[in-house]
Amino acid sequence: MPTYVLNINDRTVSVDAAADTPLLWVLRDELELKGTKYGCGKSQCGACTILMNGNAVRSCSLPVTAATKVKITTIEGLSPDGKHPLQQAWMELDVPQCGYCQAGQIMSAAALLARKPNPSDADIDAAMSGNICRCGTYNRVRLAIKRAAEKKGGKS
Amino acid sequence: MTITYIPFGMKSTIALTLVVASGILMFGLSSFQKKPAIDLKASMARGRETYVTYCLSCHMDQGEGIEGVYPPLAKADYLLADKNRAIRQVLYGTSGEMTVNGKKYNLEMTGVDITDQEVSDVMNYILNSFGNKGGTVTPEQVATIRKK
Repeated sequence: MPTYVLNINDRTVSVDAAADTPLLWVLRDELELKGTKYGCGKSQCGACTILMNGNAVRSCSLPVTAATKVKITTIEGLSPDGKHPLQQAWMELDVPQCGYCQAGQIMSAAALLARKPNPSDADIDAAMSGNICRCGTYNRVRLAIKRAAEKKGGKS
Repeated sequence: MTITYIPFGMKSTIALTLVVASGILMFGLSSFQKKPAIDLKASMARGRETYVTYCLSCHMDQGEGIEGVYPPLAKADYLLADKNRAIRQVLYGTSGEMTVNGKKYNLEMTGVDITDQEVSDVMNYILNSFGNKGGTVTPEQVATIRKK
């Protein structure tokens, strides 16, 4: 199997994988980064969302070959101590119910806040529309994104 | 009474200036009357916002897609062959196998719930970015396709 050099959460790692292996399996099975979840496997639900060069992408469909020479951030790398404004807001407002989709929700929200430090309700609804939550935590997700935006003081 | 002497050379200059000025005026009027249907630059700028929100996670920053997984939009024969099909796919999504620039793709794309204006903006962005020269789309065109 070929070896791929990846930059994940500011660490350079080498992994042996078949060229068509989705990045999600490299993260979970090779690198033990299990925060990123498998949902639908076809880019429809957002549970596997990670950041690639700051943009929210679905790791379940992204072949490892497409993940080289880019900066990958997973939920584990969002902040060194779990104190990213989104993570704090998520805890304060008890956003998760079952929690399965939440890492993906937070990563999509992180990409949004980096782009729009003060998103409107419409911005949030649009940016989060690719992340499905079967517990229906959408209202709390929206509140927490606003809380995080306040914490960041409207700065990206 | 003062007789103003205008040398011949200056007369022709004045005449030429008048001709040019009236030409500009005519051109200005006609361009005002034939106001372009859309301001492409502004539409593309709005379209980029919509693109980042709904399209980029699969089609990537420069419309390059991922070979074999997400079809490209950049210089994509499939996209540029049928603008109306592309509008329909933005509105209602698409599934099943397709061939884009000689490669096969088969992943479901969901439609997005956005206004006719937003569809036209994102189409104008896609059709005129990434090396594409694909023309323009008006909100009215989107509305016709939405009704079908």
